Amino acid sequence: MKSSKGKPIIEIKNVVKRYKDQLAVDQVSFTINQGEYVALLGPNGAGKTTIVEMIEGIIKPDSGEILIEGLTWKGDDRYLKSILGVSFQETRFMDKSTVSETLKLFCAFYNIGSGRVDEVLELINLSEKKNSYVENLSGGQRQKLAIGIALLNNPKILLLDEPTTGLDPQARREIWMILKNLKNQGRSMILTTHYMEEAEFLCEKILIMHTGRILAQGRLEELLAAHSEGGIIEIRLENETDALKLYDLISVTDSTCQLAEKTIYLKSKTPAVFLKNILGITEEQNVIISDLQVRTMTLDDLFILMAGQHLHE
Amino acid sequence: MNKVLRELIIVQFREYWRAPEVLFWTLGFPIMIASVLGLLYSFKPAENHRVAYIVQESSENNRQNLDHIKTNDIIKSNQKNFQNLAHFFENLQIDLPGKSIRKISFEKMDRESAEKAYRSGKIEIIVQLQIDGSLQYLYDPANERAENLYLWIDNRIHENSSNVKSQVLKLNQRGSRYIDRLIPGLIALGIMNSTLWGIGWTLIEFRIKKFLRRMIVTPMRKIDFMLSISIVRMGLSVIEAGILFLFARYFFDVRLQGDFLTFAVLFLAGHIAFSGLSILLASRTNNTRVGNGLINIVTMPMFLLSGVFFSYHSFPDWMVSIIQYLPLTILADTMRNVFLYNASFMSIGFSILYLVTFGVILYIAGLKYYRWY
Ligand SMILES: Nc1ncnc2c1ncn2[C@@H]1O[C@H](COP(=O)(O)OP(=O)(O)OP(=O)(O)O)[C@@H](O)[C@H]1O
Ligand SMILES: [Mg+2]
Repeated sequence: MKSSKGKPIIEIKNVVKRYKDQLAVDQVSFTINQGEYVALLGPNGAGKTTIVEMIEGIIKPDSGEILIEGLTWKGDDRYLKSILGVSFQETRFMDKSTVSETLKLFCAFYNIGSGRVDEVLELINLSEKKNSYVENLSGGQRQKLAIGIALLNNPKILLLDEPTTGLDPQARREIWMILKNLKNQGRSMILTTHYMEEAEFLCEKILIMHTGRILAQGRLEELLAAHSEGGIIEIRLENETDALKLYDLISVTDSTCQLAEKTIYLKSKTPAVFLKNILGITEEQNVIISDLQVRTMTLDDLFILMAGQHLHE
Repeated sequence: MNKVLRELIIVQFREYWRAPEVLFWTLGFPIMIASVLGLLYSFKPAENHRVAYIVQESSENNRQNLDHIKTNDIIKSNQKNFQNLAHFFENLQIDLPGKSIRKISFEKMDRESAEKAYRSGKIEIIVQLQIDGSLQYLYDPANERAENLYLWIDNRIHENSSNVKSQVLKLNQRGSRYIDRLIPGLIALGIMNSTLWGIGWTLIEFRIKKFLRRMIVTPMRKIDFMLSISIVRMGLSVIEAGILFLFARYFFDVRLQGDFLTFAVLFLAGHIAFSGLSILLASRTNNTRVGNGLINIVTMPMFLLSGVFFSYHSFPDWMVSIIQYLPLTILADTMRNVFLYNASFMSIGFSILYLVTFGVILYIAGLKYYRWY
């Protein structure tokens, strides 16, 4: 694969998808360049799967345009299918087929010799399970098989929908390593995830999604830098009434502060000054702080500030 | 055969091969039906029944004799008895021990048409009024219902006139037994069930597992997938019909009178008809209960009406005119014609054309509405 980093390979323009009364994707636009690994980060129901499946050609957008290498899903289907490597959020394969039989079947679909089977087994580190029935694989092994199938055709673009959800940390790490090792071939990837560490570890570009919209996008450093002068202050109160009371007072001067249960998050350019003020207020209002932290911003903080909720909720 | 098709077929066969319990339920069930029904001959829902009676004429070309017969008092009275009985029976609800006959109507026929009606299952017993005033019953004694009919008619006749002699003649030569009619019907039924349930379920299951959409995002051609499903099912249907046929042959000496090739073409036509139907039925749903309901609603009426287990000629005429065109009726009737009466390829051309056209139209409609995702 020729590496020509920087050329746009996927262009999403003003894409909208509505389900009955649910706006799943709302005027989304972004571009992915060749060789880029991009994370779509967002909580349940953010619209990640909907976007990815529109790129895969499975869901038709209501409006807007999707271009892959400048081509659309009207007329260039077979070519597009041959350059995509896909793994769905959830797929079950034929129960009584073995791992290598399953891979062999998909080799036939891509018209690749079955010699590729062993190569891929090696890549996904599943060689010792090649003769096991799919029904007897663990969750992590199934996920690896799904990724293996996505890799069979040596795709230019990998579209992985939550490849590590539900796996233990070790299995997750193993998949990260597999994906990281595929990076140096000019391959692009879109990965959806709930995990910031995953996005941080694998992807240079991150799109933060919430309720069908993209809240922020950019390189991780850019995202953090844009918001990270000063620090994040996290104040946990004894009870929710206190939290609400304090939140009302703070939000008069700082509209970006967020309340989640008993905790108030805010960003301050001058944390020291802010803390001095806040301690004064709490004393005056007789509000009891049970925990207080000042730290540099993480992706999770950024998300909370933008969406008002944790990624994992 | 291209590589994709071959792989798809192998993968599916392997699933059956490696899950013998699935294979058992696929293949074992029709044989269970055949053995139970074949051995007992008795399971048949209540229905209206027709009896043919023939008044024998001593010598067809002797008018003299005929006149003589007509003056014969015994015969006259017996004929009258018959007419009376026929009238008497017509709207009568009766309770036989087997509860398998609801109403008996008598119809006068000549010998030839009576036998034809018997062969096609429209009647199961022929009563012949002999020249000497005795009665002859022609039926298959292994058919419990015909046996009941005989007993009942004979009892009634003896209640009316105790001096009538009667005699039973077995009509169980090959081809006219119940089992001979049953087996071709069961083969037809097997094609329907195996195809609708097999293809329908496979497609719905693939869709639920999201395996279908996983395949469809590869360059695999849809037609290869559909063909593979159809071919795999055809293979299983052939095995199923083969076992059923061997079973019938070994235990009941049922034979194929017609040409094997004609039979094979008909088999294929039936398979095409029901493949098309199953693809249409499974084209959209991703819910097994909905699929179940759809398949049942289509198979149950045909199962009951299409003449596999009992003749549909006893239904009212307006129903028969619809039943005749059900694909299973066409397949079962034609199958029977090939099995029992050595129907030629040309003579069943219409049926084959009908089944293939039916299948292809539904296939195209199904693909048009097909939900791959
Ligand atoms: N087929 C559908 N019919 C109706 N609503 C749908 C359908 N598919 C998705 N939605 C709705 O669209 C929204 C976005 O769903 P989507 O699956 O894209 O979210 P997601 O970001 O992938 O979430 P998750 O992290 O849980 O996978 C959700 O509110 C969901 O309920
Ligand atoms: Mg999702």
